[in-house]
Amino acid sequence: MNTVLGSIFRAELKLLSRNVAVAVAATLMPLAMAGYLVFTGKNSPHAIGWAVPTTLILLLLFGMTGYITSAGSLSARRDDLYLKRLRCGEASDAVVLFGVLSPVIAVTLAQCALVLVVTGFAGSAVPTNPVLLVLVLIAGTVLAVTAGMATSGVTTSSEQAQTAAMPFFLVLLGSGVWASFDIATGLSTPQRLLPGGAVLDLVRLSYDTTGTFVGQLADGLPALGVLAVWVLIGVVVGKRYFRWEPRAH
Amino acid sequence: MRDHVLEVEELHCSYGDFEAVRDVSFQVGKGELFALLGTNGAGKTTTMETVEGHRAPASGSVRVLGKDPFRQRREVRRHCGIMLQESGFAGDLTVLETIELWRGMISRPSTVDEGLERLDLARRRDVRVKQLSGGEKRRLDLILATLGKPEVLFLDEPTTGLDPESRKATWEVIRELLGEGTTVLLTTHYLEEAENLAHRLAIMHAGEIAVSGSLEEVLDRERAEISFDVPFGLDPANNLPTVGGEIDLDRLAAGRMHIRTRDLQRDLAAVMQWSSAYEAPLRRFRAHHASLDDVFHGLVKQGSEIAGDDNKVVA
Repeated sequence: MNTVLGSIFRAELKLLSRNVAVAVAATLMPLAMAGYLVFTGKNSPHAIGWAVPTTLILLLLFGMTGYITSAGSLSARRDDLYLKRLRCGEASDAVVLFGVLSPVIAVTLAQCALVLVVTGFAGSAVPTNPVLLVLVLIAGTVLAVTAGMATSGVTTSSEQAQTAAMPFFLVLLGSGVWASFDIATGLSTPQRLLPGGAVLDLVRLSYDTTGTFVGQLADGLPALGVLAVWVLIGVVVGKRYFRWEPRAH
Repeated sequence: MRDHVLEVEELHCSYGDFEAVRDVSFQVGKGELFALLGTNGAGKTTTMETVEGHRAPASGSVRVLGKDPFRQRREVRRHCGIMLQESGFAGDLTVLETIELWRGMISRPSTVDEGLERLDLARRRDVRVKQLSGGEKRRLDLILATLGKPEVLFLDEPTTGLDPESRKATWEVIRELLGEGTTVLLTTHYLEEAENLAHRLAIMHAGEIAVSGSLEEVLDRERAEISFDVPFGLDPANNLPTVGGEIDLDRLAAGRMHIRTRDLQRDLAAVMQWSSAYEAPLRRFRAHHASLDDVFHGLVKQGSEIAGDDNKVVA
């Protein structure tokens, strides 16, 4: 690992671990969600029956741990001048950003993985295409943190970051709920183009028992493309509006 | 000719419509300490941060070691140490962890103990940064800025909040670094700091450099002063000493002789001669060259008067 990135990552992990409440919540929340899934999904071995609650939980984790935390964390770090301080060194902007966001990325991925592993072992849901599921986790997490970066760019203070993050969080979760109504009969174009719909489509494919492995990957490409576009939008907005220090004037 | 490590030419910096820095130019040679002084909002920090590469100039050019610090930030930063005006630390990391983090951020870090010993923070190494006093945080900041043994050091109000003892210790560190050939750009509110450390300085006012040069050159702008109580029984109107400087008649009427002069030695001799001739004791006698304080306050007063005049015109 890059020395600079490693140093920032280690420091961020120490900071995270010193906040006991956050550490406990970060572990208990996915366990509770996985338990709920196992309990309620025992009689839903069908791919769609299993994919809907799994997707909603993943979207909740992308939204809360990935998106809201990254928006709040970047805004707070900017207000504290911590980002400016890190920029005084030799690291590039991308490395500083990735370093500061790396624990958020790691925790989001770990929480999602925890939910999927627990449900895979204790429940009746074993993904038929784990590769596609891993791609969903990566794409969803990257989408969440790039959107967080963009939101923190248009937020004036860390206090406002939580409120400013609400609309996109609701879009993320709401689009998944909306898509879940029609997943059995097929998604409409607007549903497919929203991030929640794309994630649901991919999770459904990951648990689908009817298709082939390669066929599932091929069928998942459009939804992956949709997530890639959302990531791109986050990067473009973030690049345009992201600030490294509080607004002085 | 001395190599210029820092070169600033006709720098302008803006925040939206507000022009914070106007037409600022200066050069700093290797091993030199250049101080930027000024009132709050004079444009010192904006100038400093533009030279550091934190922001792009609206116009004009900035070169650090011959490179553009904004566009070639990573290359320039390899040779620089930066002490920001405000710390920007993660409060829940300890002093040691903060230094370790910073050691990972630079390519040629010195040892942890070297910095801690030098700035007397060794006994606080395991304390969380949020528990440090303001002065200790400034010292930690200086440790981080000097950890990579930089060729160029930017110090933005390095001793603000420090007690006199710590301030002097900080000056010692800066002198050591200057002795090792480090080039320093310093902003400060403390005129004494600039008088003690700076090879050359500039006083900024309302975004512009009002005066710059060596300490002697800057002090030469203001006149020296001689003052004493008018001896009892002497009619000052008819028995004035023959001096080249200007006598303040208002103060004279109030019983105090106050002479402002460009030639302190000559007028001092004239006053002494006059005192002997009239056998007049010089009570509460004072004679001194202009200080940076006098220059600074003169410029601020001048600026306020100009602003006041402008306001009158506008009104």
